[in-house]
Amino acid sequence: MSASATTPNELRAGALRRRWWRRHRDGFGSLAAAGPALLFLLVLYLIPMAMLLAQSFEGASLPHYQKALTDDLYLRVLFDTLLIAACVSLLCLVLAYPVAYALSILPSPWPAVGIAFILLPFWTSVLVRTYGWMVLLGRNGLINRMLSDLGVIETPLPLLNNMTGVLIGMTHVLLPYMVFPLYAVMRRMDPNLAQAARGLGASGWDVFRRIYLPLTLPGVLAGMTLVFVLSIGFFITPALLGGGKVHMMAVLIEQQVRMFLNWGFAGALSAVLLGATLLVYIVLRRLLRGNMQWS
Amino acid sequence: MATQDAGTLEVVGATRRFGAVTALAGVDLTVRRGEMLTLLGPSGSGKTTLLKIVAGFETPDEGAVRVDGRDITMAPPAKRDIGMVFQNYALFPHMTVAENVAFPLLMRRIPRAERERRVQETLKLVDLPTHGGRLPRQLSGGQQQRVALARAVVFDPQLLLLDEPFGALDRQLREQMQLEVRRLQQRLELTALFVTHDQEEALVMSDRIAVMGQGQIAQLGTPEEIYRAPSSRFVAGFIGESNLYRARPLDDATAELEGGMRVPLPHKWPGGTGDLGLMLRPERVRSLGPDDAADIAFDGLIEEVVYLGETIKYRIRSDDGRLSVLARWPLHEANRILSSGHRVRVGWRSADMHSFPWS
Amino acid sequence: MELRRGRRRGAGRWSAWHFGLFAFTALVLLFLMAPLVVVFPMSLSSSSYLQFPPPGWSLRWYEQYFTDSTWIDATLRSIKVALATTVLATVLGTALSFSLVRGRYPGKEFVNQISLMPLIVPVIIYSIAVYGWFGQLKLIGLWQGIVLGHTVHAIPFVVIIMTAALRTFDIAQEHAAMSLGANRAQAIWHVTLPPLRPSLISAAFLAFISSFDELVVAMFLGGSNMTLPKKMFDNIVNEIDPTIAAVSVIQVVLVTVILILVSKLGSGAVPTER
Repeated sequence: MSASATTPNELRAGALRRRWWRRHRDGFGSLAAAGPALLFLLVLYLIPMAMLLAQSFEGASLPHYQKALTDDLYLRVLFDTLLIAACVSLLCLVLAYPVAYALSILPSPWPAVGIAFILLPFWTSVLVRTYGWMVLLGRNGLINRMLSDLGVIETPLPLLNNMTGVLIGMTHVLLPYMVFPLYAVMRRMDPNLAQAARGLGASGWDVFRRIYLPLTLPGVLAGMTLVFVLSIGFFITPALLGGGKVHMMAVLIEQQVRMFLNWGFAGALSAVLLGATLLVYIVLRRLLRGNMQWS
Repeated sequence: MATQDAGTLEVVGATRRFGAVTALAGVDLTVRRGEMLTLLGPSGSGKTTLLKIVAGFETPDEGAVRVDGRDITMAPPAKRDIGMVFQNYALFPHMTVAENVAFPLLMRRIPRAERERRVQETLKLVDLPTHGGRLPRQLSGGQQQRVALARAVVFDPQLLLLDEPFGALDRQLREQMQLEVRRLQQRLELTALFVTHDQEEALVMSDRIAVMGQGQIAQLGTPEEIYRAPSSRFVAGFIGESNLYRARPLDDATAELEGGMRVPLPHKWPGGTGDLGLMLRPERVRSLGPDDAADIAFDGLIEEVVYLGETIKYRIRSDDGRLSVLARWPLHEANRILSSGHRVRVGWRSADMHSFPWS
Repeated sequence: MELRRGRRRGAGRWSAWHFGLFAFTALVLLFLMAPLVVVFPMSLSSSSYLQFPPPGWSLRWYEQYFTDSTWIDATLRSIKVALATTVLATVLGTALSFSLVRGRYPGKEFVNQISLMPLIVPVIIYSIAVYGWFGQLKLIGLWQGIVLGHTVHAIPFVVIIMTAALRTFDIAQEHAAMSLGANRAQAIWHVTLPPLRPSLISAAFLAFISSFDELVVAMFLGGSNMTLPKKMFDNIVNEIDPTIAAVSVIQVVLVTVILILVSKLGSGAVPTER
């Protein structure tokens, strides 16, 4: 080091700076690693979303929001959307909880087989699955055919192009999202816990209510959050299985852009949908965290 | 070989603060060529921070690290020429034993033929000549340890660092590996810095020990010096089992223990203001006959008995209640086990004690 | 006595209640598989109408698929888009995961939230947003534009799998490599990445599938250049013919093959593994 030209203080400051840099180089390096992805998401995600929402605020009295939040028609759609999402979440829970439990107690290889049966539809295109449901639920579909052949019904049941079809289709698509978090929680459960409780005199129902349910509640909440949030934004299934009779927010938004080129109103509807989604997400997240701390 | 100073490690005034916490407060340390020096201390004493600074994974706020007179404070780990054995070995799980050992040679672009020769040589050195094709997970803990060692020395590093390398082994294997590592280090004449919190391990392995506490070196010396003559209460308490008494000096040759008993001092006390500490190893306490005399002697009752196999430990309280002492005696035929409540007479020579300033 | 009996009961003998549970589970799994299974007989139907059971058997819909250039074009376009998406999302997402697991900088949690947001925000909102934006940039109708939109949605999958994998990686191995003479890039290349390969494979497959199956973004950005899902969607809406059944069968078979490959080579995407 050539220290002759610099004062000791300058030298010291330089050394400190170099040491600081040596220590933080990796930290900055890892920030740089995030750089490309962040730039990508900024330009292709955050900017377009911000622009869409900005368009919804045109006009001094916010006419788009007035329309979206006061017109009975649109409020009705929002209400239906939330109602469908709630129904689907409950249906998924009722179906998934026993399945996840069974998979968590069955001996090998049955859990792997069960998981494969869930993963296969999970990874298959929603369009394929929707088409499959049309084959099953249609007027001349498999189910109506079987029921009338058995003499149970005279005329075909209306299973398609209505709320029934949408609920079945959505539950089918979202069920795996409920099974996986539940299964993850249940698999980690200590089987000795239930035995210990039984040893202490608890009945089967007591064990379930006082031990199993509270301990699996984080999984329930995580699954419910995921299913509810995803349901709210569903587009393909209601569009194809609802037959134009089931109105959900996503379908409405698509119409506003496709048919009417009404960007401002579509933006306002998007903001409402986004707000509802984030609200549900944050509330359930808060519940989830509170519950984790509690247990 | 290189110059006379080759392999000397010097740490000068190393300081490292994490926010308000000072992990290392101006440590000076020199490891001599071919020496195994141990950093011994409880967790949070700064020993790991010091090791990281030497290895290059941490940068000191002040101070410097030199190897062989060369300043490496700012050098990246790869350019330091230091072999390191990690706590859980950090073997690469996807590489075979031979590939693991060859890795540092590969990074140094050593030609294939020589690489293979040196890998084979080193594996023979650690007694694993036929294990080159296996994967780390197919080896036992002790074997993994040897691979880690082979990998750290295969490139003839100037310095070997060992970071609590025996923590994952069971007791028997640990003792065996301690001796093996020590033998290898001496045979290869490696300069080594060893970090542990286990004082027995430190006594077995080291040429010198640096006892660390609160980011500073509390005492530096040979294992014998550290054990026999600790320089402070902290060191005395950390190394081995001991009776520690606080005493008030009356003149340069006597002191009064807490409780009032007067004892002659082992060394001439230079005086000064503060209290002094007196340390007595339990094995130095002797059982006395009814009329035997000693520099310090008293009658008492056995309060507590701990059977240890080859030795037995007693806690004895004097009849006047002023003193309690821990004694450890070997068990042999002449020495039957006494039970709690038994009356004994014990004593020790003044020279068996060691004094140091209390504060 | 009471204790021992309780333990034996819990230890593995199934009660009637358990068999009820397993029967229910089997029914739910049947519900999940039914729409996939039913497309097989449909694809072999000789009828042009949606009718069950098929009045006769034929391979005409497979022939239709393989000879109709619009179907084949759509398929090839989807493969091209999905491959490009896979490369882009895997590279960007993996670098981002390193940053999220290893980095220490302010705002990291915010970065994490941003990268996972596309999973939660409804696809339709993003689709019209990016439709408007690409309209201004004159990117509508280009397959590259679809790739950009799909990459946004594939990044979260990569990030979830790769951050989980990186968290289990022992940083001491990288330190060991560096102390043995490797610089940081060499340490990552030789030591960090090889054990992560199974996770990278899973992440890549997930990214591929998410793009290959995606409809809504492609519908808005594709213009007249249809991807396979868009072509399928039109086919379903217009109820043209059961070619869609043949396409569905091919897709189910493809997904099965990929799933087997991933369970052999990958990790992190199949929840039975740790």
